[in-house]
Amino acid sequence: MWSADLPKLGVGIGYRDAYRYDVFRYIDDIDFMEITADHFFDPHPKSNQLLSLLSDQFKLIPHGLGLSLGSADGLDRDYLQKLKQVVDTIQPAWWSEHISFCRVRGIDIGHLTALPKTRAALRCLSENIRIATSEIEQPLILENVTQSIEYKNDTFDEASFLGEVLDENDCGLLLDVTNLYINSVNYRFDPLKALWRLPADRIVQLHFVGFYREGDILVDGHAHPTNREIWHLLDEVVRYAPICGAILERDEHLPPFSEILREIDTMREIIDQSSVES
Amino acid sequence: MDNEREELEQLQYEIARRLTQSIDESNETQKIAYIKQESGLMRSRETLIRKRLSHAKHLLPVTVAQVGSHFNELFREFAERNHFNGKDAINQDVLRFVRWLTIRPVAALDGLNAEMVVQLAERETMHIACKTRPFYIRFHRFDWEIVRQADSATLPKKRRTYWCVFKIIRYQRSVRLWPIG
Repeated sequence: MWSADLPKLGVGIGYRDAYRYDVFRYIDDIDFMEITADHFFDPHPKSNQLLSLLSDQFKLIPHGLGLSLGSADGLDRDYLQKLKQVVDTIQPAWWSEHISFCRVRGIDIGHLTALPKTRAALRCLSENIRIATSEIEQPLILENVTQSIEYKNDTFDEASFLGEVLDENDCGLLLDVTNLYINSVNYRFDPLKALWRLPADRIVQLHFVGFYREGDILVDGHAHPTNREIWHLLDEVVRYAPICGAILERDEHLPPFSEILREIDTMREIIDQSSVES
Repeated sequence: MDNEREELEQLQYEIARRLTQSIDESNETQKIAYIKQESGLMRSRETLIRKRLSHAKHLLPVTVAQVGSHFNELFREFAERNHFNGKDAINQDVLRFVRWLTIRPVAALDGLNAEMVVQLAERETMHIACKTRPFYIRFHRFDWEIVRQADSATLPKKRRTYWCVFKIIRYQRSVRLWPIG
C-alpha cells in the first residue's frame, strides 16, 4: 500500500529560480515544493545555501532528470552518487525519476525519450532501478513521459507497461496527468480507461500543467496554463486514487505568481471536493 | 538476454545520434528499423532544438533584444548544423553558439552591428564561461570588481594598491575552495 503509507503533502509547485522571492512571500499558500535535484549537484556555496534555506522552510521532494533509468548501457554511477547526496541532505518522503532514457554510450540527449514497451526494456529498467534503490533508501516513484517516438515492436500498451514497471520494482507512480492526456490524444486511446487500469494505491504524486496543439499533435511545453481537459482528468484521477501530493510543473512563459497560486487553489479544491464525496 | 540488451542499446544509440547530431550528418543516416514513423523522431529533434533555443534566450536576454526577430533564425541555423552533447550540455551549447557567432560570415547578420552582437553575447555568457574556463577569466571578472570597490571606497592611491593586492591574495585563497558561479 504505497500512498497509504506515505505522508499527505498537499499541492505545490516545482521550484523555479524566477519565483525565488514569491515562494517565500506566499509561503503559507504552498504546501510543498519539488526541486530539480540536478540543479543542486554543483557544490557551490550559493546553491547549498539555497537548498538548506528551502529545506528549512518547505517540505521538499527531489525530482531527478538525468539518471536515465532506461539506459541499456547502465547507470552513470557518478550521477547516482550526486543524486544520493541531494536526497540525503533533504531527507524527503520520497524521490522521483522518469521512465525514460536520456543518455547512452556517452551521448547525452538532454531530453527525456520514451522507451520501447518491451520485455527487454523492462528488464534493463528493472536492473537500473534495483541499483538506484539500493543506493538511495527513500521510496522511489516513477513518472510517465510523453511519447513522441513510436516503436514497431511494442508488446505492451501504456497502462500495462506502467503497471508492469511498478509491480516488478515495487515502486510508486508519479502520474503526469498532462503526459497521460497528451499520449492518449496523440496515440488515440481513452485516458480514463488507461487510468482505471493503473494500480490506484501506487499513484503517489501528480504532475499537471497545460499543453498546446501543433497540427494534430499535442505538445507538452510546460508553458501554458492548465487546460480544461487536464482539470477534468485531474478530477477523475483524485476520485480514483488516494494521492499524497500534486505539483504544478510550469517551466516556460512563467506567469505572475498570482496565476500560479490560482492554479494551486483550483487543484486543492478538486482534492477537497473528492475527499468530501468519498 | 545479452542480445536483447545489445539490441536495445543499439536502438537507443541510433535514436540519440539522430536527435543530437547536425542535420548534415543526420541526412546520411539510415532509417531506424524499430521506429514506426520518422516524423516522431523529427518531432523529438524539434522539441530538443526548442529547448536549446529557450535556454539560449534565457541566458542572452540583451543579445535577444538587440538581434530581435533574427535571433530565432540564427540559433536554429546553429542548432541544425551543430552537434549537441555532453555534461552540462545546455550551458555549453549556448557558449558554442556564441563562439559560432564570432566565426559566422558577417553578412549573415543583415543590418545589425555584428561586432556589437558578438560582444554582447560574449559578455552575457561570461558567467557560464567562468565556470568552465581557466582561472584568468575568473580573475578578470574579479579584477573589475575590486577596482570598482576601490573606486567607491575613495581610498588614497597608495592604500588603494595595497587594498587591491590584499583582496587578490584573499581571492586566490578562496578560489581553491569554491568556483565563482
